[in-house]
Amino acid sequence: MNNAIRYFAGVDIGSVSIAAVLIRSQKREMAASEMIPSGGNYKDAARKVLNGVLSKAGIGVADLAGIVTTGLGAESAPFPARQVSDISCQAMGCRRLFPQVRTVIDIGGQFTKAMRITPEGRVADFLMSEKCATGSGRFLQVIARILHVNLSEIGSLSLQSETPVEFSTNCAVFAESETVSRIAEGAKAADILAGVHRAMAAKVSMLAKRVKMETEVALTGGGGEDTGLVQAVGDTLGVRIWVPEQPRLSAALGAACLAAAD
Amino acid sequence: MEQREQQGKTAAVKGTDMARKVRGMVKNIYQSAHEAKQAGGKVAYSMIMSQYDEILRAMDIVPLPTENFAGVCAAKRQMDRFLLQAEADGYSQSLCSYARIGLGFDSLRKEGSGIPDNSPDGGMAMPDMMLGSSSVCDPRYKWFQAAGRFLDVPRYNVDVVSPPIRANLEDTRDYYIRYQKEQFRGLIAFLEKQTGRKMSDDRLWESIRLCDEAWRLWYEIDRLRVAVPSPMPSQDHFSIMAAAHYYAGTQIAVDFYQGLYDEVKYKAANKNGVVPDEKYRILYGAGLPPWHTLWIFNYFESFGAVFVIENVYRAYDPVEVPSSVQDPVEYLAWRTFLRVTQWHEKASARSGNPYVEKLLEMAADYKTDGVVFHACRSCRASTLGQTHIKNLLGRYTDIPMMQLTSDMVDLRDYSESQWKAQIGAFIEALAARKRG
Repeated sequence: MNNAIRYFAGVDIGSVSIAAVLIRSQKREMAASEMIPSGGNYKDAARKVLNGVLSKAGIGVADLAGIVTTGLGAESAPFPARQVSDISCQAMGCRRLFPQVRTVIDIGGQFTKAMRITPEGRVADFLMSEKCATGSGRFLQVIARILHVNLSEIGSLSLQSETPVEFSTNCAVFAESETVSRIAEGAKAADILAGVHRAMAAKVSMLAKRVKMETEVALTGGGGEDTGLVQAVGDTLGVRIWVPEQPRLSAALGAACLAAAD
Repeated sequence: MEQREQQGKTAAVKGTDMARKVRGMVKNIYQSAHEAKQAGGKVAYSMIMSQYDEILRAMDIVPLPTENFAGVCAAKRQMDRFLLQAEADGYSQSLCSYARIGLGFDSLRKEGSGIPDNSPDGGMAMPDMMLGSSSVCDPRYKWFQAAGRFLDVPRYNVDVVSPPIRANLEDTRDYYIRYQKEQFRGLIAFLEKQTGRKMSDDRLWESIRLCDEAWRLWYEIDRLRVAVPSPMPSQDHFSIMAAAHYYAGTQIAVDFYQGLYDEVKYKAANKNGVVPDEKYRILYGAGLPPWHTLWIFNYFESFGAVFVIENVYRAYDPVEVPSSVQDPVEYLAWRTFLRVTQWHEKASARSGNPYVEKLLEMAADYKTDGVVFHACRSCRASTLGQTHIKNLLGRYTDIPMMQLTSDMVDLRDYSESQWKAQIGAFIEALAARKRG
């Protein structure tokens, strides 16, 4: 019997960042992870992130028993790999992290996705947000830029809000001008951010309800790093939200698990 | 960028030889209207499924299906100037995009005193009348009311009955049929005034006979499509429907469907499938087709997924009007009533929704592995209720379902990357279910 350790990689090539996760065959435990900004060249970035994760684990490409790529840029991978949709990868990644989870909300840079998953980590139903920035991380980027706040700070700042601003629009472009108006009126950045989070949470929650959300619920993607957004979504849905320690790695983790399952 | 990349790549590769002949038939619709005008004939803006097709044929009025023109514009990616013209005239982007294209076309025609240059298929001839109907949705008569801004021609709207699901049809049937007959009688009086000629009952009967025969053949063709592998995909359906709707009541439609029937029967008997290795059979559940991107059906096929049947545009199975009916107008009224109520009994007995009942039957008969819906942003009639239908369907079947969102003709509502991402996940769900 061959007891040699085998490694499997998952690479998630997204619009904002590219993440790679390496797992060991034994117990499918995470051996290493790496994440870099996508930049303008998916091919180079994908190569770089894979080399980075292999280097961290101290192994070479030849030690890999399988690779799965996922995300919007999966086709750009410069190495041989099986492609799997990020929806299936998120489902599998969340099952690995939170076996009790039955609904996953993934808030990425381009789209938000809601999926209902089976106990085996299969996708039972899913929906993507419409062709609209309001339901995506791009919305937060726009508002953070206007407020001159770092993306990493918006969550904690939002949680300090006492009177969240009511946004009268569901459009990111109009919300931008509305934000400027609110700033001119003297609204605090915390209240504006809390208002944005509420508006996004309403939109995201609608998606979750349309896939007939079942508890427990996990939130992944860049949106999971925003504690204000996570709380707003939890409040709107009336449930506790499970968030991975590194929310932007869960699709890559799922991809690695699927590579191991081949 | 995405949109530019897809220029010239809108059409789908067809599965049957007969479907490839439809393009010429569609061109001829618009050519016939121009020729009729030159010969002093009458041309009418019309709406399909208004139940009045045979009346127009019996009176030698050339129907000009304005919705189809919008589809042609989208398939050729020549819709933007018409959409933008309508929006410049004040029509909201949330209004029916078929209507916006038609209104934009007529607005440009009025502005330029003639058919806009390089209009697809030669553009729509100036109509002598506009015939709206309440069938399917309200833009199908509001559109022609609005077009009165640009066209000084008479219009007539026909009401098409739509009894509620749980109505006691035994008690109310005669009322509905009498009312429908009055509607058709009113239309005939209007058309006789416009043409200066009386309608011949004999010609109406002949037109009805031809229409019923074409629709019967179409139904038989769809029954052949239960075969595995699929002998004819949905992209063909969205072409071959032209014969039944735009050539209703003509020998052309009958001959076309006879030819298609023979071809599909041969393919089914010889297991000549749409793709070499059919892995998944898909039901097109609801929503108008994405005329701007019909090649998407071929994209599904690249994964071995074939759309084997659809619940759009062939809205009725054949019905049997009592042989005691001797008046052709009464026959049309009866047929209308029977068509629009043919799923009521099954719906009352189970889900309460005729649409769901039909989909469930199709899913079983055609052995489908999944259902795809298309939500069209500007088509309330085919989109409102889709989520409800999907959820209701989910009570009776566990096959994967997916809803794609765009519009039937407005490309601004379409995102190729989003669709491909969704389709990838859907195919994986189909594969996972097959693995068990």
